[in-house]
Amino acid sequence: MDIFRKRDVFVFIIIAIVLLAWGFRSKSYSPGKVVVFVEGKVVMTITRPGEYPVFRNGRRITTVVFDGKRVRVVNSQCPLKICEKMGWVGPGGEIICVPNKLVVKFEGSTTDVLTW
Amino acid sequence: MVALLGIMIAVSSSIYIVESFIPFPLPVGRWGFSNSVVLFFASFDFKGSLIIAAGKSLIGSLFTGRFMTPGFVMGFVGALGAAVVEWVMFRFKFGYFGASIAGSAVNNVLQMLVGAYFIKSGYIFSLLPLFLAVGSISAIGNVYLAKSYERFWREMK
Repeated sequence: MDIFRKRDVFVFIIIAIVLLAWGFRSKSYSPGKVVVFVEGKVVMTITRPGEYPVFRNGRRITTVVFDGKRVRVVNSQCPLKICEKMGWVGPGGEIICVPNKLVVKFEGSTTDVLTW
Repeated sequence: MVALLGIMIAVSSSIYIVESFIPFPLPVGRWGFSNSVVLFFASFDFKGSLIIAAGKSLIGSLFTGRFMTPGFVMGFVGALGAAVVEWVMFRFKFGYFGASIAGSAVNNVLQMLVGAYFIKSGYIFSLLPLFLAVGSISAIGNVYLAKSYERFWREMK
């Protein structure tokens, strides 16, 4: 089997187009408001700095720490602690924990605007 | 053929286990070099590629303690989907590069879909561009690994 054939270029082009199209989307976020989702539902909206435990089915799954500008999670009850390793995230960033079905993100809106 | 498949599953599983000890630049994700064996097999044996994809995911996850975790399910579905797409790409006369990049992209998309099902949210797709970019780099590495297996396979047979 050949390492490279001419038509392989199309795959590169498609991937590049997808990445470029995604990069041109314009997004705005409220830096002072963090929304916490568990199983797709909003369980908490945070506007003041502090530490906020998050519960699911009556059990604490993680603690969200907000410093006013950035957010992170600590003491997560998941095996790999990937959400903790994501560290501090600012507006535009998200913390996702699949085992805990958790999403932590800054409130904002996404506008699909292509700029030339 | 069964014995040879078993050997290739062992090779792929070993790569899966060893690469889990190599630090990955992102907090989430894996190198994915174990998919190189799947890529190689997809170039000539569809069933074999599926068996290897399933086998290395199962065995690798058992040894790394990830069996039946959401991450295992995501990886399992992604590996099988990648095997299917790579085989289709080879049937349409693409080379290792095209098949590997496409397989990596489909692998990541499927993992995001499964992840979105688990967390019941589409926000996980915000990570897709990053994974597509990093996955493409691993896919290029898999191309050269898959090519190197050809001589090994000829000697084994």
